[in-house]
Amino acid sequence: MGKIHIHVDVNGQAYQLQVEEDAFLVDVLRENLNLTGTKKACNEGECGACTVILNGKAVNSCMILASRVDGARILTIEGLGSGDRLHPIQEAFITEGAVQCGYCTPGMIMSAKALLDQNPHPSEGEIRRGLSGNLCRCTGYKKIVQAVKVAAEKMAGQNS
Amino acid sequence: MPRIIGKSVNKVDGVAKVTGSATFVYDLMLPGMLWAKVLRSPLAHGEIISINTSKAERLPGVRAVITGGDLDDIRHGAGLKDAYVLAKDRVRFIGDPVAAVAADTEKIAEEAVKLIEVEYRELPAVFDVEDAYSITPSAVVHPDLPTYQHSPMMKPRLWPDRPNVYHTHVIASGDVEQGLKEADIVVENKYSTARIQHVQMEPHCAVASVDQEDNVTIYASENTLYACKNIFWRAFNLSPSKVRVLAPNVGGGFGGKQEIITMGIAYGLAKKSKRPVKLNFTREEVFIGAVTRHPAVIYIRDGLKKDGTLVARDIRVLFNGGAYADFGYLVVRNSTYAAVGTYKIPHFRIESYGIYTNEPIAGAFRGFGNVQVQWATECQNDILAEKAGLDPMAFRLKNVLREGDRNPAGELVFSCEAEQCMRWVKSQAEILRKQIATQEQPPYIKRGIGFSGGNKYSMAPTASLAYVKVHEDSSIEIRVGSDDPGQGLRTVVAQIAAEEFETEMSNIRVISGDTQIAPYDEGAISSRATYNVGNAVRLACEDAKRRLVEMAAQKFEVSKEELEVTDMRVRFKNNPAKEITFGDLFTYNIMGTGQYPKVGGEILGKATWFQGKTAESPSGTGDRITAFYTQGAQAIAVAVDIETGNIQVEGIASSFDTGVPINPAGVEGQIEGGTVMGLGSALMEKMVMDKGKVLNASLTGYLIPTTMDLPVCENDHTHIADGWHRDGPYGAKGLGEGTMSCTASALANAIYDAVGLRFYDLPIEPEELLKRLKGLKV
Repeated sequence: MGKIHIHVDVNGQAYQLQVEEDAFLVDVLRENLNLTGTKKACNEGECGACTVILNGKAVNSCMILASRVDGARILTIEGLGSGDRLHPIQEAFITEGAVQCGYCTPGMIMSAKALLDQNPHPSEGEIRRGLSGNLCRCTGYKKIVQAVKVAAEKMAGQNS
Repeated sequence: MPRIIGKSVNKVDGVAKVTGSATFVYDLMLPGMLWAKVLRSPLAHGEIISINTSKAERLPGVRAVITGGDLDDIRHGAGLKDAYVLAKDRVRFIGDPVAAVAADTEKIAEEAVKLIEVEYRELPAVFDVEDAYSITPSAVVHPDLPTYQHSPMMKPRLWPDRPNVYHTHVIASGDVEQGLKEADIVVENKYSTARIQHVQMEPHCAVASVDQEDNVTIYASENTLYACKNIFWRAFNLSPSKVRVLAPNVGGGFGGKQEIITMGIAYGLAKKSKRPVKLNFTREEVFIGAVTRHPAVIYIRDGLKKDGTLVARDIRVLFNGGAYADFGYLVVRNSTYAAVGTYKIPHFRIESYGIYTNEPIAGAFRGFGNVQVQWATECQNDILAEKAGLDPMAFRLKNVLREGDRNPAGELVFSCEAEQCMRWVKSQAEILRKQIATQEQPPYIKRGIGFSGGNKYSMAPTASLAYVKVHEDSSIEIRVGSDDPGQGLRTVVAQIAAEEFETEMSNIRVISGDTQIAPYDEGAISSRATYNVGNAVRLACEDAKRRLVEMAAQKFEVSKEELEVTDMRVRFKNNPAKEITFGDLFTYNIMGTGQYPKVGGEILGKATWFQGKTAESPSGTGDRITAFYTQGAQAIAVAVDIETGNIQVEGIASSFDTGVPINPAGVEGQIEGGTVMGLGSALMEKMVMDKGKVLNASLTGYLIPTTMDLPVCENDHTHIADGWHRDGPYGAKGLGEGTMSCTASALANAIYDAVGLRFYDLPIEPEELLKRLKGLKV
């Protein structure tokens, strides 16, 4: 198995990495870069726990070969917010009680971020569709959907 | 008036979890750590003739290979000791662990496992629970069952002529046969539930290491820290003083992380390789190698008076326990309380059987067997209501238990807000009806609303312990040995300690998930943590305050009766302005860096909360044999597409009585989450089995609800009943499991309301619904 050389921008930092040909992005993020906030739960693209934002789009990082992301811009949960300040989505997940065990949370927040970047004023139906690839077994989703609504309002307020 | 109790607060671990910095076991990397993989039985039942590991051992990068013969473990179990960490001579289900490898990488371990050669002699197997229960079963899963060791506190009730029954429990009161005779109407039905899985988002994982002095440290994703530690050290005959189990953050439990299935194997490999070992289950292994919920067959006969009085109820439950009893040993017993917790029934009997089959292990699952029993009783209640000519909630309200009643297990009823929950749901259902009536009404959509009541007991006897440590900066550290797999125990503990010390939650640090520093606890099971741990914390805070008063009394040279702790100071009762901080009770060392109490050691409070029970009669009755009952009721609105069989949930109204809610936001979260898990079990969740093999052991094949399967937020109404429990901390009870007790039956009752079809087997899938609908038309 050969190694491939890639350049990536992860959370605003440039990296040059040697990755195995068959290594998946989730493992490279977690093991090479120690970004363990991105979770692994099914390894078949069904649960969304490994969601990261790749060139502006939410993707399942367990389904993407690291060798294919040369030159890409990647945002993980660790890159959200600035310094000690939480991103409004993160804040809303806390204040709305949208977090229980926390295992789906990073992926869920990244999907919400991608959704709100593309559609700053989503309807509830659009939020539900936007998060439909992210499974959560604890919350029943209601507080997660509400958190995304609250975050959208807050972000709209900040931008106006 | 409490200051923090009863107020919704942010979770104490919220920031860590939303930033991805919360550490789970799978995130840990120890120096020199190896990766493990498990070889599992391909047979449902067989004898192991030989195992050859030499090829695997020779593969470069392999550091240890173990089989059952390498482990000197004795049989272990949660009450009934019937399992080895790795099979020694016999495999009993497809997935039974047989051997394991530790290697430099996960890939090498995976490859090595394939090189292990096992010769089996296949044995006849048994899969159907009625077959297994019979006096002539197709196979006997544990021929040595009568010789197995068991808990001294609970003897297995076996049947010599039914060799696969590993336990039986009965509650009987009145005379059920006589009651059925006296009834005007008798309704008899058979119900069943499928095998379902917890699908915690975090797969099971353990990292084990053994040092030079044989001290064992295991990080494990568990929802019962101490139960796992105790089963583990007893299985390997170690000293508990040399075993440390840590559970940092746990990604969901729901009862499915109480076994030593990962830690036992990781330990065996760590001991042999002399290096730390990580064993992480794949999602497929979570389905086949972790535990599942018991599929149940429930036979029920009810006797009804014309006026709607429920006079007799007779239930027989067969639980398909799979290959090992696990927590099913206790499920058999405790599932019976489901049928006594909500209604008055003068003539009553429930018999519950735990039965081995050659299928995956069934263990604890949110509700502990109670949800399966209530699937039957609450569908049955709807049928009875109709027979009596009463509306579904009117029937339930006519028969519901109220304060001062005796329930069918003979318990004196108190802290029971079942009626309040039902009345709220009944009125909310009318609002729901109006909300959904505004929606489009195409002719192929039929709408309906269904109701259910529900309850969940919490176990007794049981104990929780707590420590409080006062630091030199006056901050308070609480140590508890119970678990926070996401339900929010750490937050509730911080609230209780903050309330006790009249301070902000930011002055409280809660430590859990480490047996070396946290005291014994029976864990996050049986909806027990808030009630039991909360009480232990409250008592330990009182103990710490007594010590603070004693120290201050010595310092001021007054009697301790003159002092009290209020608002984070020790004060004179008659002159509160005269005070001393906790920190000022410490003495500085000569460098001015360290501080210590001059006498008596660290300022510690400690306490045990013991929840006892009264004596139990041979027929399973007693004045108080449970800690408390969570009560609840639910209405669910559905839209059934009669052309496709699709069932869409359009509205939910839930009301639950958890006593005084410590953190209402957390309570709502439990209700919403439990309800959706209930909807999954009702509509889509089923492990598809073929001769012991799971055909859909993946999240592609086994579906759980997504955001799209639920009603919009404004049609999902959650209510916390106004309740109070005399023994609970600040009047609180527990909640987690009861939230799943109503949902499946409310949904089935809604389908009946919509299309006039009764369903008796879960899940209710579109194909089946369509078939039945077509049958109706013909």
